[in-house]
Amino acid sequence: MRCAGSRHSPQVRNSRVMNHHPLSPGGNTLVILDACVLLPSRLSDVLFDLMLEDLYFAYWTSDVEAEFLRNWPVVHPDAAKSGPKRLKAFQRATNNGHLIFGHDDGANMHRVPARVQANDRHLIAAALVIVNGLDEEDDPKQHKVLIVSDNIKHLAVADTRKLGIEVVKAGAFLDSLFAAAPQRTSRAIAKSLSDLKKPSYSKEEMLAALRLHSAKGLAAGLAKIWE
Amino acid sequence: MPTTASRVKAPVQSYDPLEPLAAAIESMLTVSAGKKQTAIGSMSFRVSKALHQVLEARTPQSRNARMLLIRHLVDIESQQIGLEIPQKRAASDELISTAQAAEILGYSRPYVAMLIDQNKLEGATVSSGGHRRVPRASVLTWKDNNQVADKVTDLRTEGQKIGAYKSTEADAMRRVKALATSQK
Repeated sequence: MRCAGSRHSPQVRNSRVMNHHPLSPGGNTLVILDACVLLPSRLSDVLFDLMLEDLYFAYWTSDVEAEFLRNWPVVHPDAAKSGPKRLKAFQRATNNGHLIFGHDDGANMHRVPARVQANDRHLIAAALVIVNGLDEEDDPKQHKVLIVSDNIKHLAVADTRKLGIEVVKAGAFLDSLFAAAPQRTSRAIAKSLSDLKKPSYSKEEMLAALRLHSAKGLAAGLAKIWE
Repeated sequence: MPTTASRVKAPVQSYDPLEPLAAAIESMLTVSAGKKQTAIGSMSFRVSKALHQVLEARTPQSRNARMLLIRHLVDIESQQIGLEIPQKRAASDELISTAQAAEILGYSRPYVAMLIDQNKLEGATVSSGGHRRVPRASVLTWKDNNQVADKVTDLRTEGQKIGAYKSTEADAMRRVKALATSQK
């Protein structure tokens, strides 16, 4: 069994992180997760496995939580009442350091590009809150602020990039982590396989799920390692 | 009786209480240095003017600079007359940086900065130069209130218990896509 708190104390975890986020060497990779990537269970498992391996920090907004809880019964009709427990488990995994505050302030919302779809503006505003927190860092350019969403058409990717925020699909994000840190990425995912017993989850099923989410580089890399 | 060296030694906390004041004065001197110098533009005149502006303004930054200066002067004076400040209180009131708070909480520094900016950590201050400081006690209070000491169940075990894997990933994906389409 693996737990965020028991594997690394916050002190150990943070000191490991400061220089070990592979997408931003010397800084932090700070990622806003959209509800659409939290809802599919296999995908969210992998995202949190990699966060717990200290490859990035994960955040989301209260809007994302509301959307997650609203859509969970639709996406998981056989476990319709379990949304709050699943969300609680996500929150615990981040040591309750997940929720962005103040993104709905006028100053942040005003900076969101006009072409971003109305009900997704909170994602960009949340990323801006994180960007605002970089101002006393030694060199903000050492850090990376990302939004991981599968609805990138709604998020005016080019305009958002001008604010210092990258928008990527979940599969591309997973591929980039594997490309930057293949050993740590494969180690985290291999551990997750051994955790699943009832029902068991095979390597083939994991690879199929990754391909489903267009993480083709990660799936190919893992297939080679697992040969 | 403390020696001169002990009197000029920085107070207990690592944070320099004169830093906001110095930063504000530096900022003003930098601005004035960029302007055309006049006969009355001597350094002492400009420093004096900057001190008045920083310490007498009715802004939160000025108030912060004033309070830290007062506290620093009290620290110096209390050392001179041998006044003991209770150690426990001094430790709990210690102002620490966002990086130190991030270490304690296991969070990123920008996330701590956000907690300060959103008044989630009581007693935090922001200098006129934009440097955030937070009482160690507030950070520990946040930790006590928000972080679970003993996580008995991990994400996957919990997922198995609640039936999060009953739907296939392909079915879940299809439903998420359908929701996204219907919400356009």
